[in-house]
Amino acid sequence: MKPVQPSELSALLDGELEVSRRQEVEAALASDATLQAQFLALKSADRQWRAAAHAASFQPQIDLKPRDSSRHSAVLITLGLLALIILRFAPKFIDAMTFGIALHVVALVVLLYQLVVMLLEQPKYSLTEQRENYNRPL
Amino acid sequence: MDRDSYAAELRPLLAPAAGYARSILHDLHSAEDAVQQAALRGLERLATYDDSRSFRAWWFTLVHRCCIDLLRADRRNSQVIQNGTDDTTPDPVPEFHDAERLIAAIGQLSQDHQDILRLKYFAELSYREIADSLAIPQGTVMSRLHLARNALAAILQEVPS
Repeated sequence: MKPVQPSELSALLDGELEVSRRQEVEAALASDATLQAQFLALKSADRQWRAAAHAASFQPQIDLKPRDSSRHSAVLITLGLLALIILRFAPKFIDAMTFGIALHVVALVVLLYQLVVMLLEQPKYSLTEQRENYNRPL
Repeated sequence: MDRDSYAAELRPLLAPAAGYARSILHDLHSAEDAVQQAALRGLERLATYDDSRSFRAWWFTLVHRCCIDLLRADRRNSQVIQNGTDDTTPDPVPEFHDAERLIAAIGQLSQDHQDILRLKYFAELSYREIADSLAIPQGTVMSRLHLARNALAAILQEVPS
């Protein structure tokens, strides 16, 4: 059997050794007190560091909502206003009253569109479920 | 991968990503910003994601790059604002003491050792994923990680808890 390399103790701890080599290293550990002490020290430190690293994690507030809805709204508003302005200043096509009513209709359509998009997309792309882990102790 | 799959894959990785970013940036709010930027960057680059690669490794590479970008921007701002004060917000919770101690100790190691320990403990990547992230062989991951652990243990022994 090949002698056990120190780095193989790390790999054993991390469950990263291949089965055959793991068995060899475990057998060496069982018969070598020095090796066993090294492994236990490594294991103890690893446990503490894992706990500390875990304590450093927290649930961030992440928003993946697509920006498309606001882009679509801006495009809709621009197109609607352009159409109205062209019609308003092209004689005989539209009078002031119709222009005013049409302006309100465009605003209403955009508002409804925005509401529907918000209702449909908010739960779907909200990644953050809770924030209580923020202050999780060790 | 579509947008919904991306969101589903990402959800369980957000908290470790926040811890990982925090270990680099030493600040909760900056860490949250980095994860937010990485999430959006990942969304933009979904088309370029290679399915044969570990999603976890890919995601933490994005988080790492966003952290580096934030650090660079922070350095630039510090240069512009002469005599500026440190605007990082200290962690307010005493329970984080051990985490802070670990983060500070890791910060004293060489860059190679810092990278590999963060990927192991904060990102919780496997050797294969670490090898993929750092573009090094798995055997190198094993030996470098062991050396980094020894170096970290030596530093923590010197620093009183």
